[in-house]
Amino acid sequence: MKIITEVFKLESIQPYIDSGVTTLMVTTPFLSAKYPESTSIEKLKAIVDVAKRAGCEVALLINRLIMEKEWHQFEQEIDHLKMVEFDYFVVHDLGVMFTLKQKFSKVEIIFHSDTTMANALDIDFLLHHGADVVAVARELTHQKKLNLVEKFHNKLMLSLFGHQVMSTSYRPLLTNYFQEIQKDIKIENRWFKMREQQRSEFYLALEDQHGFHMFTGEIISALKHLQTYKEHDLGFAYIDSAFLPESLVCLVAQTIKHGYDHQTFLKAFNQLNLDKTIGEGLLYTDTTNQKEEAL
Amino acid sequence: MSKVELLAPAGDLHRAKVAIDFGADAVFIGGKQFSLRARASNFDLDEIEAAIRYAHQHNAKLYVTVNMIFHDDDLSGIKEYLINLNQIGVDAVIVASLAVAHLSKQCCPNMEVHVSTQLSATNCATLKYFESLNLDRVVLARECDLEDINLISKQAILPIEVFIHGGMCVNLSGRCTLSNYMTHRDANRGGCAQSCRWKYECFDQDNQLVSDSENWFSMSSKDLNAAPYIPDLIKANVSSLKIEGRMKSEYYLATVVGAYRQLIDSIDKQDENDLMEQTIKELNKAENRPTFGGFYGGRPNNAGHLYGVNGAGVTQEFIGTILNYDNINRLATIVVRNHFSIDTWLEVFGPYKQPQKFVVKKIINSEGQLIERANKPMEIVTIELPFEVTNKDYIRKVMP
Repeated sequence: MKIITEVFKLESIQPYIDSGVTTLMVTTPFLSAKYPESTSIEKLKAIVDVAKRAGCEVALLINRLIMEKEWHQFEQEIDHLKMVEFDYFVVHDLGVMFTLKQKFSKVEIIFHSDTTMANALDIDFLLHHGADVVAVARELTHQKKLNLVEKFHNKLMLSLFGHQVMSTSYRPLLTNYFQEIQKDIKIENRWFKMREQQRSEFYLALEDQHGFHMFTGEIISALKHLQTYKEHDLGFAYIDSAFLPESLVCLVAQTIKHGYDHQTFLKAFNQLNLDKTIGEGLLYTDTTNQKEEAL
Repeated sequence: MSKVELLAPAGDLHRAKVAIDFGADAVFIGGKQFSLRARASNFDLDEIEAAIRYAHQHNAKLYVTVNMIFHDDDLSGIKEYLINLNQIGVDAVIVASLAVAHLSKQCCPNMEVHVSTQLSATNCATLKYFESLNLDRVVLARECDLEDINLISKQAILPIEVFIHGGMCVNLSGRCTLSNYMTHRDANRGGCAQSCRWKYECFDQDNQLVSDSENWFSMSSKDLNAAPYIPDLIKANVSSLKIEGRMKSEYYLATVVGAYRQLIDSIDKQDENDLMEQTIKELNKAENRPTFGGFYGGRPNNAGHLYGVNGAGVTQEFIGTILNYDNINRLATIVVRNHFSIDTWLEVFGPYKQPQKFVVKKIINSEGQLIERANKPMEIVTIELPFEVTNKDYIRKVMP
């Protein structure tokens, strides 16, 4: 089972690799959304260089929709990166997948749309029509995810740890809001906490040049099922590093690599003294498609 | 330039007929299974067949949404369902699953497959991908602006459909799980709780940024009203203009479909400013939330949002439907939907006709008594009406 996560700093590469990360995702502010940190093309090339020399795989992350009027810029950015030897493209947009598959036939494509890959029929279809690996919809229960892993094994990627993105808007919602209430607050690439009027839990929110994104306040962890996923030959264990400190990413990677039991992980997690909680999200709660049945 | 299609929603057979009567070239509906909008009435196969018959008799088309993001256990019976839809003459299915699209093409090659906006097509490359899969039409993501649409349309890869009116998802369609996490209702399988329209307290680290709950953060979007962009969308050679709202009332459909029909048919025949003013005035008579132009003019600013307001604007303009008209005595029998009194100004509007005003001079209740005020919803009353009307016409209040 490969361990994949994002990297934004040169200094993080070695600790990540030492902890067991096998595949590093890199990106640029134009190509990706949702990360408070950003990497220029030059910095990206330097990161890839160091990672490759350390024997680590590298994936280019393009985790947003590309609008048609941006397509020319998208192609230019890909051109700037064509000499970089990526092992994977992690893509969110079907058009990006289609284009990169034609241009770079030797680079594997991981299709990761956050939500839409929720059944075996669609995953199988995509694996035959452009994708080499598919990331399973984040909102499925553990059992539904496991059923898919049992069918597709190393052709799947699962988000095992991280704040789960709940929504993405192409609108600059925080900018619009603070403009409406006439409050002068620096917004871009800073995270905010949100609390819904009737609920006690907090959510995380971030606005970047591509829009507004909202995340679970708790870290959702499926690490207690690590052994099961390993037994079924899951392809990629994804550590979603947004809002996570390097120390925690390293701890999770070590846990996955060495197969530490959950109690051991939790003990080490508590010793990090982070202002973070771990939850189950929807791992054991199926959702309904009926409004009347809902909670 | 080919004729643009006006595509309307319908939650049941009656509303499908209203949409077609008022000028929709095509209607989209949901079946009992496999469709979003779990709260819309939705059609069983017999009702779908009846809707197809009515549509085809009136030179209109009928599309069926099969647009949920399926989990494995939702897919049971999908092939048989697609075959049944094809056999009863459905013109197209609207799908959000590429596997289901492919399945449909395999088992029903003559039934068109339209790619739902849930699959977020925003560029030509995505359309080329869908073209390679032999799909027939793409509903573009709502986030495309006029520039994107013009650029995509110029390539003429596949026919494109765009939304022109109705509710807006503030988040990328098909990519939002706020409702899943907050209420355990699956937004992508028809259970959306519209958590985006709720209010949220906002903190910078641990500091509350706004204390007054009236001013708390909300993602709630105004509804789309793209009437001012219709001439540009037609020039861009868009194939289909789609009105959202399978849960909307017959009055809403009659008003909105009628207004857009009039607009589309009158472009190049009437002064554009006058026509637009007339269209906007007419659209404002439907029960919309406050509206804006969506993404057509670029990424929305704060004017595209509802802060401190929720829900559709309640309107009491809809007075009733007409059952029949006695031409000799000039009496119309109507079903009352909202209260009205003697001496009230009302207007009749109907398919392909200009609204006509009149003053109520006589109301007779179901027991044959003269009354001053009709105030029982769904009561059948008779009113004096000085011009001929039909049972496809509607009556509404004339607002100041």
